[in-house]
Amino acid sequence: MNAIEGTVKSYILEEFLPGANASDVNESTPLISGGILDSLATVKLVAFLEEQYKVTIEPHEASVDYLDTIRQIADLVRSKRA
Amino acid sequence: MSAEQSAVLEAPATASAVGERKAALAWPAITRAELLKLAGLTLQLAVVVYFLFAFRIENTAFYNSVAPIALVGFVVNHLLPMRYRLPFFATLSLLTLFVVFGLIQSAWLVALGLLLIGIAHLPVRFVWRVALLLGVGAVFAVMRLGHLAQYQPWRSAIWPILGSMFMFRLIAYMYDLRHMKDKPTVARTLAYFFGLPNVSFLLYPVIDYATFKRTYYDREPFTIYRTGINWMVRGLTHLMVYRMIYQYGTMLPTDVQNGTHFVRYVLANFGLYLRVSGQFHLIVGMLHLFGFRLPETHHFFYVASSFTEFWRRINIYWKDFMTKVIYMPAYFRLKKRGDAFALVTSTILVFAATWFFHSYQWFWLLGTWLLSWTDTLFWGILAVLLSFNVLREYRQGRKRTTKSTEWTAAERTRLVINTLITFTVICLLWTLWTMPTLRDFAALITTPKWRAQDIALALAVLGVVAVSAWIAQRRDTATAKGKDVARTTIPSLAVLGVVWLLGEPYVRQFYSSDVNAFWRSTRIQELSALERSQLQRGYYERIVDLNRFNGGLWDIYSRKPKEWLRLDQTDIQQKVPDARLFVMKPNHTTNLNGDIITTNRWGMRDQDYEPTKGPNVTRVAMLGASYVMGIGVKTGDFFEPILEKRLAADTTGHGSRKVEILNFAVSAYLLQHQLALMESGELQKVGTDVVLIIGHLTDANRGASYLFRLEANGLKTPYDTLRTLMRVAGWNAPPDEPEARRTMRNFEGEMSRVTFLRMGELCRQNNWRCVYAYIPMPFERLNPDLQVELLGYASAGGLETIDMGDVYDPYDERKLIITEWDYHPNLRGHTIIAARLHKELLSKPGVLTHHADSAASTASTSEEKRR
Repeated sequence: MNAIEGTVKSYILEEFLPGANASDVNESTPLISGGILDSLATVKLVAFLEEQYKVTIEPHEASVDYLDTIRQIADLVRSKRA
Repeated sequence: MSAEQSAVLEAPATASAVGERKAALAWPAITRAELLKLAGLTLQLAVVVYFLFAFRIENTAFYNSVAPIALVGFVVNHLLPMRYRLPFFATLSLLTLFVVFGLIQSAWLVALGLLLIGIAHLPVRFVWRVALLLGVGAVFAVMRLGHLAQYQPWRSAIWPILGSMFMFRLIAYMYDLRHMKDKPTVARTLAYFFGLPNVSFLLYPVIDYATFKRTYYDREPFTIYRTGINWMVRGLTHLMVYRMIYQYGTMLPTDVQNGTHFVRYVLANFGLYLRVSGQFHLIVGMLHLFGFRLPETHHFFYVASSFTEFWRRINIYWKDFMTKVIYMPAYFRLKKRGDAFALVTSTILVFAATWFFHSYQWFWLLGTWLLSWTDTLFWGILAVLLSFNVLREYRQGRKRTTKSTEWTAAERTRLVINTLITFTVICLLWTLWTMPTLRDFAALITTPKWRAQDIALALAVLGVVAVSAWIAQRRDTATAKGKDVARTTIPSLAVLGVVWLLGEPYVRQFYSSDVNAFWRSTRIQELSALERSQLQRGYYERIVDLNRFNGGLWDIYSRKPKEWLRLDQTDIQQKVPDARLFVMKPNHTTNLNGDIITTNRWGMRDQDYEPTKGPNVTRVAMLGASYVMGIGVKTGDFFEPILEKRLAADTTGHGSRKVEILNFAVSAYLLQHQLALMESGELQKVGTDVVLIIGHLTDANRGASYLFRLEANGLKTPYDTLRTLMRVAGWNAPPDEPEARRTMRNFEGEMSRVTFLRMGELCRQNNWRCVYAYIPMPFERLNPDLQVELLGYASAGGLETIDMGDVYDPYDERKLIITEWDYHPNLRGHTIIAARLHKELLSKPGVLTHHADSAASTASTSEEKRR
């Protein structure tokens, strides 16, 4: 797991799944379609990503198409930083 | 055929993908195991399709055409190479449109749809495309209102379907068109807008285009199909439960008198939403059969543990749509002003948009704009509750379920308590939402008297909700742990099979009539008694309080042409300053929904009559309401002229005496109007011998409406008896008709009784032979006790009675009405009434030969002798 993936996973576990096992979430766990991230959690995650990686995320990117898995989230961040 | 192959077809053409692409284009080699799986699922689906037909689920187009087409299409679709599946589904959807709507109308529907899609893809800037779409939408809206009809070659029935297909999905499509990297294919776009089930369901989930694309065959096909069939069965179950609630649970708010009524009213009202949930399950389940692995549309919404949970679980597609097009853009724009402000403002904007879009949807489906305080208040209160919840969740978070989640006893208890609070508040809010006015809601809340048994019932209901919340939470936890808890298809089908068996006509013959009626109602899709009476009210009142999108009446009204009028919406009626309130203009002609209505010099829809009758003639004054004056049928095609002709042709019972029937009926006349007409002197002007009052349901329950209208016209109630009743009931200038009805609720029977008493007096004074014939309209039933009571009042007043409450029993009433939105009898219905009434009149010796003048002279001679 890369640095971004690891950081995002830690954030999700700490912020949205306190008490859950780390093994409950992997890079391809569906976060939005799986009900872990609702709209409220999504905006929190976006705020975190923007703050952490100094990137700007567009409204249409705050969706299942870009943020449904840790891998997708990391890809989005990487594409923004590139 | 696999998800990978689907992905290959979606992927850009690269050299390495060519081989796999060829595989996706090839006809699949099906293994024996796969064939068995397909056969098993097809068999399950066939049973579902049969049940949809047997239970007459939703509408004829669905169970007769769409569902069988989907069954065949499912097999063909799976056997096709992946490359051809989407075009096949799009073609099948368009063909189904043609099957259901016919060639010409479907062609117009598709053409209008293609026009909108074409504009969406014009090679101009996005903003211009949106402006053009808004412009065309505005023109369509004007046409939806019934204007520009002369330029409209298609039928107005197209508008609700077109609206259903494009009103929301075009917004979602445009949003994705702007943001998605790859262009939509023609087949996918057609499949998205014209998708197979849409032709038979006006309420259609707002499917997200990106999700529609992303989830297409993104899992193993049989898993997708299995889920689809499971959801169709779930939808069917929801719709069967809805049907029972709709037929047996609903009641008028004015009938709520105690706590048990209140609980029943509130629960039934909320329970009606199962129709939407059931339809959405059927729709999305059916789309699964063609590879669209769309998400769930509803999830345990009755046992949501907070208002935000409720919002997330009920109509999930709508929540997602709002999140995408309103919430996220608003939040991102506002977040610089602080998270709390951005979150609350975005939430409020979502509810403002939902409120607006709800009215917008109402407009496209029903052709009128929904504006009511209860609707506004409902969305407003929900916005406030959600905003508080959002802030709380933002600060404190909420428990989410994963594989390792364990719920403590304290957490479970909290969850159950929160669920009970949410359920109670939402039930009340839902009730508010479906009330026509705030005053009605206030009356509903304050009127019921709570007895011990009512409180016990309310607590029992909450107990059931608590247990359900606990079960739902366990199921969610089990699902999160990866357990397959959705294997409910076969058991559910088995239960439905038992319901089907118990409702079979052969089995039903062993039941008592009540039990038979119950099981019969599982097999038919018809308006409930409550909505039939609402439809009936529509002939008398301008406003029909549709229960939002609950119930079945709105569906029928969506198909009612905009130009369909009631008689009082034409120019043929005029007000009069007496207790009749209004009459028909004499010597006037008007066009009512294509039928010419012409009145004679007396203001009757009848041939002309001289004031003086000829010798050897019995004149029968026939009094009644709309169906007696033949609304909906052509001149001469209703039971009065048919009966007159029969009497002329067959002189049995009246010998050489000619019988003339003078049709005094006026549309929307109630029993008290008839009395006022008898008082007016109009009947004497034409030498009436016999008064034949044709009565129906309204005679038993509309007295208060008459009194209200009398006062609204500045007239005083003319009878002491009625005034006394009003005083006893606490009548105090009620502000509207519902309030008037509530005030007089317990006095309706008494009002009928005193009206008949006065009628009897008039009959005796004028030496008229008076007969009250109870003749319902098709589908119009009084409860048997009330019918007996009504006829008893007429009899006690001194009128002879004819009971034709069973006149339609041997017939299929659906074939006796003008249209599904107007239950006035058609020519066949009138012919049946005329034949029976002829027979009934012959069974009353002397009625057809009665002569009021000779009776008067005989009566006065007797009187003189007595003196």
